[in-house]
Amino acid sequence: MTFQRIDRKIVTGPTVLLALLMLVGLGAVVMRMMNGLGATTNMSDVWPWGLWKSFNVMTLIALGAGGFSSAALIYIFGGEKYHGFARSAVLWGLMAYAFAGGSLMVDIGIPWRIVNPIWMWPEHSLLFEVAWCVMFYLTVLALELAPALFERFNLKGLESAWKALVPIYCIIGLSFFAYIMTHSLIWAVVILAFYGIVAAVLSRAGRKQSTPILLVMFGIVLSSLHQSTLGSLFLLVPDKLSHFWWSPRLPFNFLMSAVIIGLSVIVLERTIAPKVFGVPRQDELLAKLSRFIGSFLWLYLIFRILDVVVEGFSLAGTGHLTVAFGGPEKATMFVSEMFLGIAVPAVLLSIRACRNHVGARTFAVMLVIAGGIFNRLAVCFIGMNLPGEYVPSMIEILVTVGTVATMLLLFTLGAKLLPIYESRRDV
Amino acid sequence: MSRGVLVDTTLCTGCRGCQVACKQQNKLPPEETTFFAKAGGYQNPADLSARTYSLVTFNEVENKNGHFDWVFARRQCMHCEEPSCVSACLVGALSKTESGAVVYDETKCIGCRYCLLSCPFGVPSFEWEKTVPFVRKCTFCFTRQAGGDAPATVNGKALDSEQRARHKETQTKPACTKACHTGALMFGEREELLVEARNRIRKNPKRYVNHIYGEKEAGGTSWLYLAGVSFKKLGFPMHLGERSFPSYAKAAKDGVPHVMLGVGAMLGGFYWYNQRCAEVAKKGE
Amino acid sequence: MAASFGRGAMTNHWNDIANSDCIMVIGSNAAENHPISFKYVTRAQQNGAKLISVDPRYTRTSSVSDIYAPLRSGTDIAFIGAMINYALANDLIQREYVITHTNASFLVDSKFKLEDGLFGEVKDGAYTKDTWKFQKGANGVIRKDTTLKNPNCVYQLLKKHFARYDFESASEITGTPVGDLKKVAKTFVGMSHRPEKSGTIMYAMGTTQHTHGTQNIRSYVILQLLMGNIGVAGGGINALRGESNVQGSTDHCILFHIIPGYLKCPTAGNTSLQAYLDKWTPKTKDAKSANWWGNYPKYITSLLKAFWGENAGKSNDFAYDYLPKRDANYSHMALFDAMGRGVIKGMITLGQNPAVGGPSAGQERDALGNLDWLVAVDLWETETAAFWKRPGTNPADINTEVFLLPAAGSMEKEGSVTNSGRWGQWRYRAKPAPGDAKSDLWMLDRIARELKKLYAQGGVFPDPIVNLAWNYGDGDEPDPHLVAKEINGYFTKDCTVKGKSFKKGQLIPSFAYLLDDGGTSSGNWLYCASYTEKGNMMARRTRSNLKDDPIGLNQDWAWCWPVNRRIIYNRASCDAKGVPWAPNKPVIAYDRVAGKWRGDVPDGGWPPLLKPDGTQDPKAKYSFIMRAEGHACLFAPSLKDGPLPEHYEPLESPVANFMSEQQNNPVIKIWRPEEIGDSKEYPVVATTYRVTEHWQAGAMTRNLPWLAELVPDAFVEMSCEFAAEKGIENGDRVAVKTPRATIELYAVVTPRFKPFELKGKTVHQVGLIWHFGYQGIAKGESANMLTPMVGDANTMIPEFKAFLCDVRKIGKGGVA
Repeated sequence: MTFQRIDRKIVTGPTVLLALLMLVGLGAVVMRMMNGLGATTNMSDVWPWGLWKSFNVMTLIALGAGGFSSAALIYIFGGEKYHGFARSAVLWGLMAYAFAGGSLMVDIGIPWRIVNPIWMWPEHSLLFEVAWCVMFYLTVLALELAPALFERFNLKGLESAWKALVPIYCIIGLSFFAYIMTHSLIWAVVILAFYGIVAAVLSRAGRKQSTPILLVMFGIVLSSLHQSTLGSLFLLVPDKLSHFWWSPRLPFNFLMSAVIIGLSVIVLERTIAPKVFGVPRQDELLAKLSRFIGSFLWLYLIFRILDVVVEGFSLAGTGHLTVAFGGPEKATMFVSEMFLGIAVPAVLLSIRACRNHVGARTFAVMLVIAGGIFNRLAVCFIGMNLPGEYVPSMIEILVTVGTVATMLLLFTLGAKLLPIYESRRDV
Repeated sequence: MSRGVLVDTTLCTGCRGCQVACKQQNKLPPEETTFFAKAGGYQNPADLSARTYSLVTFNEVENKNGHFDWVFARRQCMHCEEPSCVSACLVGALSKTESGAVVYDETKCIGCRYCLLSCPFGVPSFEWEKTVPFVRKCTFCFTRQAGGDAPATVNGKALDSEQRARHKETQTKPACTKACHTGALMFGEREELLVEARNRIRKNPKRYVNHIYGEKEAGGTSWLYLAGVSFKKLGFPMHLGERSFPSYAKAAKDGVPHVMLGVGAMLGGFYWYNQRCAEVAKKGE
Repeated sequence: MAASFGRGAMTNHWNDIANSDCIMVIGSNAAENHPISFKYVTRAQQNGAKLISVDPRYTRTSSVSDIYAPLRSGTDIAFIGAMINYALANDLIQREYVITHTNASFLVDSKFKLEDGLFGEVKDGAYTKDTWKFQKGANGVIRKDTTLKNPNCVYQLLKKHFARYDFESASEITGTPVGDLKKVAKTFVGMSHRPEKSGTIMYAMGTTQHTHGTQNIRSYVILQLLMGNIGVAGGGINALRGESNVQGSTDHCILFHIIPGYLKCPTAGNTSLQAYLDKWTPKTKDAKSANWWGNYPKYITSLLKAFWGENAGKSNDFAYDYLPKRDANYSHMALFDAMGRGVIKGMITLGQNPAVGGPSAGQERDALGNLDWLVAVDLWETETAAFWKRPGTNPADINTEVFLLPAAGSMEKEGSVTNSGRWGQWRYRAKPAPGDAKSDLWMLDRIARELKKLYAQGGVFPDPIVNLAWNYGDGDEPDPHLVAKEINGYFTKDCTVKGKSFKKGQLIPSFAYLLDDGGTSSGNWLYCASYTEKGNMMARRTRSNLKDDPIGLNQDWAWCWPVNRRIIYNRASCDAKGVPWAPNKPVIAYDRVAGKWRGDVPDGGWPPLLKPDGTQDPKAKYSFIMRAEGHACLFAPSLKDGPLPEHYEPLESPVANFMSEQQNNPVIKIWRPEEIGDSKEYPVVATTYRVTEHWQAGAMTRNLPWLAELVPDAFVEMSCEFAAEKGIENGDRVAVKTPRATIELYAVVTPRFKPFELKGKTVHQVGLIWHFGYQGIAKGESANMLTPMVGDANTMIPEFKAFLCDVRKIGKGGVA
């Protein structure tokens, strides 16, 4: 498989529009920095997490899950036919994660202290885990994308160094990560030994891979952790989050939905890219991928419904059922999410004709993505049983719009500057 | 030895000396309040904030004997036995000390507000209006608790050992408990306070509802409450359950190395299997 | 209380409340306005005491009480009358106590009676009092009937008088549901009439600020005497002072009719010291009466010596002529009335804010504008100091020259304060006063010295000023210790008193050593013993432990007048043989072996009336030594408005007096009859009160941001029923109108107020907080703009607590 860059003009109508939106967002960021969070956002002590945490961080990371999902599919589960999707998924993931991190700097009170978790290691914080996962995963994404740079600039020497060093980085990274998460040297050694052995075994097991398998594994391990842990973060709010969303199984819900959303984004991206960049259409592959998504959706749907049923039963005797689940509007939201965001696309994608029909397929994945976005917003604030209400302020919305615009702009630039999409002749 | 405070709302006269003492101790600026922001009495400010670490709430309710009553309760950090905020904090700015206080180190905080989100009692507040904002909440007068040695003389007179002990006792208790004159706020070892609370209920079952709020809620809190009306009527969250919230998070966090091994093994296994299949297929060709 | 017991002070002290078995808080909201008292109330409750709260609305005191009973403002006598009737009718009184220590057995003039609500003839606004006297025997001693059967004895008169106050009749007046009234009576009387039990009454301005305020207290006195609750631990009638040093300032003659130590201010008729002494020294022919006031000549002579030192001698009547002689009433209202008429030209006001605190405050503000000069001494620029720029006035129209002197706060100066419990406690200076602020001692010292200088150059009558003894050190700040020592007093010559020799200049150990020949000086005989050769007794800080001091007298903590006696009238805590009524909490007990009293400092060291064998002890004296007749007065002839309390309506009342034709107290002075509202136009009863968060006229608290935050604005509280009738919601702006003024404030609609049912008529009551004014951080309209200018018949305390008004909604509020 070879990749090539999109040989098109960089400055186009859409990119200019994106750049303008980016500037507007930048302006909003400046406003926030100058005036503080109180003056520019609608967040409060009761609603401490708003649009930025829910969309710019939680949702973007879910939308960026395509990187690891596709990597798992391609490298681990033998889905080599999807290899062409790898780089765009990684680039998109890199954008999503970078901007999630960047948005966090806008969101937190003291932006320059965002580096604090690098040297402050609390024992039990899930957010600390997320922070390190994301940091590591950003390096993984960057390393996964590195070959594109090597190719683009013909850096053979660096490439071989990369190939040699990446596995070592992965093993050390994994064991270091294990250490700071557990504060246990034993765990660090266990992980070091385990991945050392894995590396040794696997290096003999298979063919040469374009990406070192350990890097892939590192990425998947980190993603499994932080995609689920983003859900675990809300384990601390069983009293506030409606139990339509809250359960002790929240991390599994998050991981499953992340995979589904990530793959759906790939489908959507691959549907749009031919139109925008003129890359070849991959209808057959997308239909196949959609079938996976459909199956996952069914699983996910069953899991979610069972989850709520179990939650209901476990609360039945306590007298707090209504307090825990919230009012009818929460129920309506939940049913809508289940129906429109999961059941409908699951049905659509289970029907071959629909899978093969571009419009139906695209509609289905768009429903999935919309459902996913809603899910993240719901868990973060919409689904909370708290007094009053939170509606994002204009500044908050502009920052978010600017963020998305910038991501799209940079992705476009990336696709035009680096060999991201597979060469037409390989298709 | 973990310390706590027993709040007996049946003894509280709502004088708010504790609320002002808290502001004085912490040098907190006043809030520009409007005329009684909440109905039901004189409660002001309406809620806790970065400038108000503790608040006496005023509740016009019917008591357990069916009579009208005006009940004063108190809101401040509950200093949970297993605090959600401490579990939440990604830089360790919040910690539970051995003495029971949940304390905050502003030099570490990045301002992510996960502590605000996670608190079962809606306690920590953020300095929203500032450009470099910190989280603020009741400190359990941690610094007072640590100090309090009596001076050699007071008003030119040497203190005897009993006076020194009394000085130490009054200067090391949290400011609110020192201000409280009716005994509605009782500072002491949590275990002893629980015994005291149970005794009060047993001795006077007509006066109290049989519930020590904070004994078990969300895994228990250092601050404990007694009341003559259901805590629900006083605005206390009643649906927290007995399990500590951090225990959910801890289960997830403890799973990390296992996931690292499990996912690694699974991935490795699949990879190895797929590679073997591919090789076999190749050889078969 | 002076008319009943001999002294007008809290009988017991704060800590002692903890010893009580039943506490009735009436005419007071102690939990809010005397919060620290609840340290002891709570303690008593934990020992099983019952707390009763009687108040027009459910207060923070009510919130911790065992029983709450509402009553309409100004109907205490009917309420307590029903309790007294319940006790007398059911014989639930402490009979032996009543016979031994009160005048229950005294025979009253047989012509004495109550008719049409009057106790005899009223002439020129005053009773002739010709029947208010006791029958006397040939030896001049009052006739008694210790069987209490004589129909003219006080006990029988009481029984007859209060029989009219049955629960139902009282309930129609007070609006208290009969059940609540019965419950209070049964609880209080039941808990406290037995000898070993004690009940206490805590009262404050809710009792006194009425046209019949003194009689309200009298009703408490009668109840407490019948219960045997005076002089005992956990008993008493506890007047809660509204300020940390009210007791001290009263002791030192802040009132116009007395001079230090409750000596009478000479009147125009007292032309010489002898005439003065003849007029005011009480006499008795009963050998068993100690008649402590018989020492009057010693106290006034020592006071004059303190004032004029060497310049007061036998030759010049101890400078008695220097004392001003009053010929009129100089109470607050009279002074402002005179100011309004332009009679008074200048005023110095220290730590007082009449523009907020005075009755009909609008007129007081106007009156200030008639002054040529006003000196305001305070920590902040009060409403009084800023009256010339108040809203709605043009400063150019006001010609008063105003001087604002910044004063040091209580923590910024050294000296003593005397609390409600009569404890003189020494305070040290915590920090220097900021800027130019000076202590009031400094200011008065400067003024006095300057006056002396000016009068030395001549004047109309320079002697009293020029000859004034003024020796408080040479420093910039007068030495408060010298002041305290002068108050205690010195021997002015070498002498021997009661077998002890003293040198000139020595501090006097106790007022028992004061002389009437000029050999002693004492600035206030009551404080004699507070600062002795042993040191400053007020600065003592030793706590007692419970083992040695089970009732918490804490005799080595600070100092208590008189002579460190913690519970006054404590001889009444024992029976006639000197055995305590309550052996579990004895105040004093007579030690037969040592031949002296043990425990608290007794009210005189004489032995008890009876010997152990039941025979009279010739050396014995009666227990109430401050009364000439030696007994506490159930029947008190010395008051202006009747020897027994009788219910009259407040001057402004929504109903007719159900007890008699006499609507109001017959001997009150009405300043401006045209400003009295009638119930048709003003159907709503109003009262004023304070909240914990603010203090008095508010200068000290409305300027503190932390307190302004708690209660940022003035408000009027009303019942949900009344608000619904008027379409008012919680937080709305409302106008409250009386004939004096109309003010606008916030409405607090609350179930804590309930309408009263008075003989089938529904009457609403509202309550206003009166702390607010146009200065400071927290501003609001002053409730005293509304209050009437009428006072108690005896004390001239204005009737702040019961008047009529009308309420209407003027705007929507914004309450969350």
